[in-house]
Amino acid sequence: MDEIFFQQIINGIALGSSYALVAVGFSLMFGILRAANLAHGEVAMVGTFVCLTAARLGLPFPAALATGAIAAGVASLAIERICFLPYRKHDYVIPVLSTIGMSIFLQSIAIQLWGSDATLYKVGFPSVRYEIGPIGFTSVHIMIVVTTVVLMFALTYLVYRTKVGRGIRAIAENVEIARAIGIKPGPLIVLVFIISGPIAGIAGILVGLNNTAVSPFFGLEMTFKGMVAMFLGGMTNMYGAVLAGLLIGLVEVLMVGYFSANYRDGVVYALFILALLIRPQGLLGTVATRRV
Amino acid sequence: MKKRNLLWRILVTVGLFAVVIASGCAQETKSTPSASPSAAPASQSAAAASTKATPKTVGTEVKIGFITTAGGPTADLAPRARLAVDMALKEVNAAGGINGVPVKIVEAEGRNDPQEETKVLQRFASDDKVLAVLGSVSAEPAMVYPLVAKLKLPLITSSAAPSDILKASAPYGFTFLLPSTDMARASIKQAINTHKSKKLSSIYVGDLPNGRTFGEQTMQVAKELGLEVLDPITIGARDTDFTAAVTRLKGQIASQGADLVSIGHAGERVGVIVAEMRKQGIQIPVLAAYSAVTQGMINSGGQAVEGVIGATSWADDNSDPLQAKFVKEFEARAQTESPKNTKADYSSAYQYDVVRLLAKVMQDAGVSNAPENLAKDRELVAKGLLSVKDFSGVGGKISIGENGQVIREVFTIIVKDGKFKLLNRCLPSNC
Repeated sequence: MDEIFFQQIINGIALGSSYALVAVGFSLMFGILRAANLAHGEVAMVGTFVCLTAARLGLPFPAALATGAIAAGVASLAIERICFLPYRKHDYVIPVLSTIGMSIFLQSIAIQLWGSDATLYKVGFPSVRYEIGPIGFTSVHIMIVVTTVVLMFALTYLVYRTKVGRGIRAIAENVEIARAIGIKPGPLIVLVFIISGPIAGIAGILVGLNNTAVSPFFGLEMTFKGMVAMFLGGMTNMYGAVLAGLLIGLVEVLMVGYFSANYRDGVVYALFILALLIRPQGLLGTVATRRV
Repeated sequence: MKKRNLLWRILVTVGLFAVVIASGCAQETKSTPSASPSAAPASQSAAAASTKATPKTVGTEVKIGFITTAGGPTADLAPRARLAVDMALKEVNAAGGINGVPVKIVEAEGRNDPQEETKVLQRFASDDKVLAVLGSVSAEPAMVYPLVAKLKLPLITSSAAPSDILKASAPYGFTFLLPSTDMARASIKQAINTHKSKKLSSIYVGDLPNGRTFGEQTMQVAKELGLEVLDPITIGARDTDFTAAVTRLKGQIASQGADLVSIGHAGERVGVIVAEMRKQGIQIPVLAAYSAVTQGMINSGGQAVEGVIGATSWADDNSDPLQAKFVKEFEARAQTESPKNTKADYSSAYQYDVVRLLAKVMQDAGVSNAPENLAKDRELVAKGLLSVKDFSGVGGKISIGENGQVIREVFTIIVKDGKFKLLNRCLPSNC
């Protein structure tokens, strides 16, 4: 094992953590509520670019980050109002199609506002490099990992240890029964979207910091990788989503680092299919959470 | 009563829509005088009058097809290309078009996809009946170029087309881009002279034919020039995260002593890769592919791309008066039009030159533009392009060789203070 291998592991953890953050949002929306929001990656993209604009206008990094997160929350809420609320009593296919349309729409708007070029992502976050022997990592790597761990525990606590979380899980099980016992689904569904949005926005901002530049096209990849991580992790299990996100990041990085980038996505999706064949409920999912 | 009210509202709404659409159409007609001969500027009318006695060219407009690539890794070039084409079009039409008939650009999006591009070419040939096509095509020219020989439709692009592909498309296929081997030779020689480089690492796009060709040709030329060439590192055309590839490069430098790296990708991606290199503490000199010597590289790479060497046919400090005029007008228009605040570069200069060159060739060849002479006119344009010699292009003289390959000087450049500074210029045969 040489130092380059350990460096690649650090790269993989950083990349995988960003997938994990998006996957956690998917776990909340799709895994628990069954709301398949295919515009979730674009929510991340909106947060990323709004943060960049705020930084360019002179806001310090914490304020720019907060602005980006709020914008992502607003975008997520708008998606709920436009793509899900009108179709609560319809088949799930209609909202899915609606979110695909929303994804393309948001991407088009972003291209008009920020251009189609990849843009250098300078938002005032001090990127400090640390060396431990031959291994190097940056303050961005630390921030990505810490943010992922903190958000994972916070969300798990919210969903499994609070009254709000119990309400969310109740409406996920059966809306009518939840109503009968006095739970109002509307506000809770809105809350899930409002929580998922800023998390995606922060994930996008961290990806921008890690990748050095961003383009309005990166949302689609975030959507696919986030969904794969959610399925692979076990739908409702946030620890599973994080674990799967990290695994995807590591596989991608090791493919590029030791074989060829040409097989990067192909191998990830092939492993995903294989993993589901062997364990359909996902890595940390249970059979009881699976539905037909 | 309610029904009548509803009907009334629908009628009013439809009426309003009709008014809005009609006014929009009128506005469009007003804003594009070149599309209508009756609205042509004075100089154009004068030119038309002077040719009235022997009308060489007939019809209301001479059509040229324009393939854009708003998607994919070269998407950053598309808006600049569009602005440059529009500039040249206005100039050409203000000078009288083709024997008094204005030129019209018919634009279609090729999506950076060879299948879509072949569809666009077929549509240009049979439906739009254009006399020639310009623009850029995807990184798979082998799927696109040979079609123009079959369609007998002149195609002149700013994209790389190897000599065997040009041969298969002769005499209708042309490229304005210098051969990649010539540009690789010029930039590697420069790196050897400046940095005394000995071992080359290469990073290039492995999942596109043009990316692979660039990478393999660069390595071949480096070997010919005496460099030791290490195993290449391939990246994906759609990748945005290059940390793993750069770490792999770091490993090559540490274990095998690479002291020069060539990067083959579109400009904005090369900027990102170089920025990542600097972030990971890699400071060896960088050679950028010809496709990377664009404003996109400087925008995405910032300070990190300072010192990057490349070969192209553009240098910001070129004293050519035509370039100075082009840059001034391009950047003035970019203040108010899309793409805002962008700068002129080789790709925009190419498109500007191609429109002007096609207009000159059509004028000189005396195309008739009559529907019954469409095939003959296209043949005249192709022959005319093959005989181009010392055309005054942006940055220098341009000729076209018998294989459809442009002949012009190679400029070796270095990025300094966010600009492409000229290091050396030479004809490919002398580089």
